[in-house]
Amino acid sequence: MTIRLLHVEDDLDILEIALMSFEMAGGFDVMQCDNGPEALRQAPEFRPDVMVFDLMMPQMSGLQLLEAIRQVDGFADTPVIFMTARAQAHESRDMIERGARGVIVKPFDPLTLGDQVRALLAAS
Amino acid sequence: MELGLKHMRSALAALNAHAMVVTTNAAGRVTSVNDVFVRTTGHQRADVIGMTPGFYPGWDDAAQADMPVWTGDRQVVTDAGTSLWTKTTRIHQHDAHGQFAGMILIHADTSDQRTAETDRDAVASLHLLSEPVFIVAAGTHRVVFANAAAMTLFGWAPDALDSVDMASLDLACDRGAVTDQIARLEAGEIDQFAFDADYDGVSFRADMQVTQLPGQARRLYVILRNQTEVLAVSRAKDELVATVSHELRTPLTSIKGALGLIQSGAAGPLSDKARGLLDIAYRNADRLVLIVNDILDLEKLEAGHMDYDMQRHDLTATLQDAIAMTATYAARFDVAVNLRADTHPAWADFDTGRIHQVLLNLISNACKFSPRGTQIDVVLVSGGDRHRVSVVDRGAGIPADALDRVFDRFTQVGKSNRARGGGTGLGLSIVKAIVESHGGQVALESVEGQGTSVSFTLSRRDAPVQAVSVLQMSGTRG
Repeated sequence: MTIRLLHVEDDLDILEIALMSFEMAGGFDVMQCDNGPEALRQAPEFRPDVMVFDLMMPQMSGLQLLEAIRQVDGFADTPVIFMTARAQAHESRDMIERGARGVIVKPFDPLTLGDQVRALLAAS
Repeated sequence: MELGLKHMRSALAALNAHAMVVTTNAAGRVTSVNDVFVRTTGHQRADVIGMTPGFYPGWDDAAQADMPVWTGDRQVVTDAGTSLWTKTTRIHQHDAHGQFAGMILIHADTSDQRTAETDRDAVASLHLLSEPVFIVAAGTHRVVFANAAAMTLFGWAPDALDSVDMASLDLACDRGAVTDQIARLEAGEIDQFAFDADYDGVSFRADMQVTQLPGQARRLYVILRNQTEVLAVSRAKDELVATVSHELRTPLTSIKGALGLIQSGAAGPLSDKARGLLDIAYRNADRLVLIVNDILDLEKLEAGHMDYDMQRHDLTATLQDAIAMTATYAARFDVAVNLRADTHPAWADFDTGRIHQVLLNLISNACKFSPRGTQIDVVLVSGGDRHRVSVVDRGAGIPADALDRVFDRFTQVGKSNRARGGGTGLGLSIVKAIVESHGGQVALESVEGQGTSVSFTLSRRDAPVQAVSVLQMSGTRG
């Protein structure tokens, strides 16, 4: 089954590498946005199964985006995974407590990124 | 004449009753001391008569010889070695020919007066301190003194201090832990302790100490240090380190990601030469990640902000995992890593992630310094109340004069290190800090030309309850 994945990340290079990683893994239909407000606009139409957010983004942080997307109809329970370099233990705990499904630490391994997302989705 | 002598005798008797009187001869040796001197100083006449007066610190009669009458403050040292402050009058005696014949020294003990003056000065100084200080009686915890800063902070009136009970203070702190510590303080188990407390929106570090002066009841001294600035600086530093770390990791994510994808063939087939060059680039990107991680870890350790998830684990299993995780790395250096454990399971309380970090650091260090084709032993010995893990290599060893700085930051011993894959020079500092945070110790032994052994200890623990029940069930089944 193809997983519809919305990836939000302000670094264009990382967007490109992640896209290649998901393509290589196979089984993902990926939409990418480089800012939170754009993601909020695109999400209702794309209807993702899972969302992967960067944490530190200029216009809207990943945590603000998480709060905002939860207010959108049909997104109360959509799994959100943070992919961030700021993943000290207390930061990761905070993200989970705020409703994230999991945290992928940057630098991520492009060869296993798809597997990591699948594993987090399976560990509900 | 007779009346005059009578008056003189009376005056001398009065003087002898209240003051210490010492006489010396022309050579400055003691010829007599009165009863008050003996009683007050504890010196026996036999010990001081005929001697130079050693009970006067810095005694220098020559310096005062041209002053027939001198009055001033002089210390007298008692037989017990304590000093008494005295108001002293020294009078030169002359013989019938007008020659200097000796001295009379009359001392009035002013120690109590000086002590009172010193106490007044100390109290005045305490009131000038900007940090709140207060003193409570042990047992009752009633306030017996508070400096001006403490009275202002808590709104205490100077004449109503003795009605204030320390327990009534609205300090936001871990009251249970503080009460326990105070009990230990009063039982003499500890001399002092410190705790964090908030009052009226301000964070303080409170230091509490017990003191007892001779003949007085025991008291608890409390000093409150405002932590607002300290905490703000610490938060700013944490934020800076986290931000810098993030800013460095973001481009590294792209670099490592791109290299990893090319290595995997995602961009097409590679020649052997290109693959070799990519491997070098990838390894060095990894090194940069390690450097960033090490710096971040060390900052966290120094600030005491490292998170530990302490659980009971089998140390032997953690050693096996760590060896498996370093297998590829060891193969690069053509060395074999062996586990030699005398105990299995070896229970201890630790954070597996952090102890993995310690082991990976020690094993990768050993790999870098091992000659090709040699063995590295990871040895677990459990004895007494401790487990000791040693990582032993057969490398070049460390020169004796460098041994005492191997745990310092940014220390790298040996020229071959960087050439063989390098490190940050932070690894052993981090190992030491993590192990010490677990209550263990790190030790390093090395002989040049023979090898190095780095070991650390963890406290032995019993099997966790769950594991015990599993073992018992296994036993029952036979």
